[in-house]
Amino acid sequence: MVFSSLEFIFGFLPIFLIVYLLIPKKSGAWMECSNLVLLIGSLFFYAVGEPVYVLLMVASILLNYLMARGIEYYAGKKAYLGWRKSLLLIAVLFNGILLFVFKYADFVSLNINRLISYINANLNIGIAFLPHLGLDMPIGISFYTFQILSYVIDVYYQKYPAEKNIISLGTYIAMFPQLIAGPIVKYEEVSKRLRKRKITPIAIDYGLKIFIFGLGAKVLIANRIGILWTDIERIGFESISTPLAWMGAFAYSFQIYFDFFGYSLMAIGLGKMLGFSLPENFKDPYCSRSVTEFWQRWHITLGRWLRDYIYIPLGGNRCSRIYWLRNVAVVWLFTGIWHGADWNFLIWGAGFGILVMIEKLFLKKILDRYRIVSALYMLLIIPISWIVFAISDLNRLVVYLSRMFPFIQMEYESNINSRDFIRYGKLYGILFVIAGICCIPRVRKQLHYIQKKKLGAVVAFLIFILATYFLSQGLDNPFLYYRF
Amino acid sequence: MNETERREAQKKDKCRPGWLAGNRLLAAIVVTMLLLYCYGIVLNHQGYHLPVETKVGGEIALAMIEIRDGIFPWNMRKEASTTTILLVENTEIPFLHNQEEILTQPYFRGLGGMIQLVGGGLSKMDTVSQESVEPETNTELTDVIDFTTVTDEYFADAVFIGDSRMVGVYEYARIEDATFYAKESMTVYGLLESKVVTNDEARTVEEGLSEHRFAKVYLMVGINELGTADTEYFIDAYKNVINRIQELQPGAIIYIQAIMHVTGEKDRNDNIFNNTNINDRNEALMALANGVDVFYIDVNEIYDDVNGNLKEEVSADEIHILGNCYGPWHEFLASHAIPWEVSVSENEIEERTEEE
Repeated sequence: MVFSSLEFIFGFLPIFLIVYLLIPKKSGAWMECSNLVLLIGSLFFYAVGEPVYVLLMVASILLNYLMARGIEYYAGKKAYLGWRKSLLLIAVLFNGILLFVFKYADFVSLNINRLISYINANLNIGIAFLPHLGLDMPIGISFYTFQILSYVIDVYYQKYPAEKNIISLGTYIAMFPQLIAGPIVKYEEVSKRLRKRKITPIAIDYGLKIFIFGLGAKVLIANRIGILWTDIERIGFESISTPLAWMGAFAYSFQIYFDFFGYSLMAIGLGKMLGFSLPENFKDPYCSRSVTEFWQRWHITLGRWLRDYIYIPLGGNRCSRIYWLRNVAVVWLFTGIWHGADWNFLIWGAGFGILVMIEKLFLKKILDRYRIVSALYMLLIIPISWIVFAISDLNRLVVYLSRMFPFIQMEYESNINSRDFIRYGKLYGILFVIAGICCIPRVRKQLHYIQKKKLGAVVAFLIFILATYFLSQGLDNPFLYYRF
Repeated sequence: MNETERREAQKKDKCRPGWLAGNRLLAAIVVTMLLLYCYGIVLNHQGYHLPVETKVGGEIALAMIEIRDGIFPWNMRKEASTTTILLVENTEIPFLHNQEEILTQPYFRGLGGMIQLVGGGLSKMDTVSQESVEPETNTELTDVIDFTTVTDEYFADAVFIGDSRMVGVYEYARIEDATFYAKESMTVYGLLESKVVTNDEARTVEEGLSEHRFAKVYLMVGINELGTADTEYFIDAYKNVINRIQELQPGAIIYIQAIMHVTGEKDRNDNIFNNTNINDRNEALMALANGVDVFYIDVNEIYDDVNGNLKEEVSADEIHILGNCYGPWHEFLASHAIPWEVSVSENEIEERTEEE
């Protein structure tokens, strides 16, 4: 179930909210009860889309709960240091293998098989091929696995004691607002609220507004501008004019931002309504002046995770330059591969890694000094990087890039309608303007500001009506990050 | 507690509104949605339905869509039984019963000038008629029509009316001089009222047809209607559209283009937009052809794979063909033309000359 669906808005959410709000929010047994309702509701929410894989998530919660308890049990006992380490290792391996089997196994086996067939053909031998698993990826596995790992590792480093109450831990992992598409929450951010929380009318109102603004970003901007991308796929990359290719790249950039930003907003809004405050995930990424800055503003909770659990443990930047380069490379390859099991994601991540290195070495000084240079730089980097992200088939990717940059000569059968961009410009021009305006930090701040005013309520109401109208029309397409 | 403290406490209370006062937005949404829900139930009761079955929120969606279409409680139709639109009485369509008869028909005379007569067409006849298992002879009609091959001049006085597939032809088939009244998600139900761009101004198809003269009218709609109503209803509406076009464009040749198939992938996974449903409607469309001024042409002949599905390699979205695959469509149209003048009955030609 996605938030931007009629089933969620008119089915799950109202029923769940009524039940949830009827339970008094007092500490002690009532709190347990409230958490349990949230946990059961979340498992139901997940099971609607993944009736089988919900068991996998429950198993993962149980195992990680036990490992964390074990790690804590042996804490402070020098003789058992090995035990602690092995328990951590088991947890990390378990989560890693889970992610690997469901997300990466087929990609790895496919490429190893390619290699094997090459060797077989050249050396005339018969090495057996690896099997193709063909498993569907459980929704949100990348998000909840990362979340659970952060908890176990934090317990290992004794940042906070392990949670003794399995319901609390389960609620933290499975809580439906952030379950399938983040933000990637740290346990310390919700643990206090899991023990004691108060839901005020103001919080409900505020949360509802944030949810609606997120819904608007997703349904009114992302879904609609995303249609241009499907238009372009329908035409075929070979047959689009260069202006249309650029329009498509910008449309995809807007789509992925408003999709993900909208979904994060909806999660934060729902969190507020349930009495939690989830961390912000986006801070005007498209106004960044460098790639380094972009990634401090885009998917903040993922960047934070990679920094805290990979980059810093590896030594961060407090080491020799060569090690630092290695650390940056590792983090960016992780970033790439986290987003998907395909070569284009690796290229995408590696590209960002290289840009970050170059920026750190000299480019950032120039970018910080000259606004025009940084604007042009980002105006090129953002759409190109999303195109690399969007097109998994490398041949098709090159075709698209050759349409964006016609000086790249390629052999393919094309049938370009040189006036196509006029037609699509007329169709999508207004959306481009709206999306562009909504990317300006000042506009977002204004929206944030009016949320507290009466005007905010009116705007939210209109957005809600419009969004449900477009959902009714069936324009909704699944969330891009849904399958992660 | 002194006065100022009390005042401050009161102020604080004011800042902390109660459940109702603090949630006016929620209240407004709940009330609006409940109203829409009730209206949706009424609409449902009156026979209005969504094309796709929705488990939750269907009533609200239905209410919103009908309000968009201008259906309010005061102009709602009263009973479900009036759902069918006015049926035009079945006019006698001269069906031809065997091939010999067709060959002797006058409209196989060639026409000089703009049309080049090319052999072929007939050779297809034998194989098709053997394969055909349909007992009704009329369904074979179009397979044995002797189409000719024409140059692009033929399309100079042609109009192409249809949905996104026709938009694709407009954009990529490079039929330079033809007129296109094509629009995404056009349906046969809204065809005449569809706003299209003619001569750089937006107007309806009906207006366009009444103001300009065309010798050939190509139609392709039907994919968007698959989720709505049944074949009979669809065909009735199609018939009405043809009748209206014949009124507006007397003497024009009307080409009913078969609904283009979807790919096998789509066919397997969609219980509405699949080729079984498309074929069902295509068969009924074929029967609308009369071999005189209404013809049926099936572009699936060139885009189908061996299983009768749209070839996977010509489509990226399972429904439309890629921009660089429209060339064969152009060739198909050029090789499936009916010489214009001859298909028009003598009377109509006389009428037209009188008018002039």
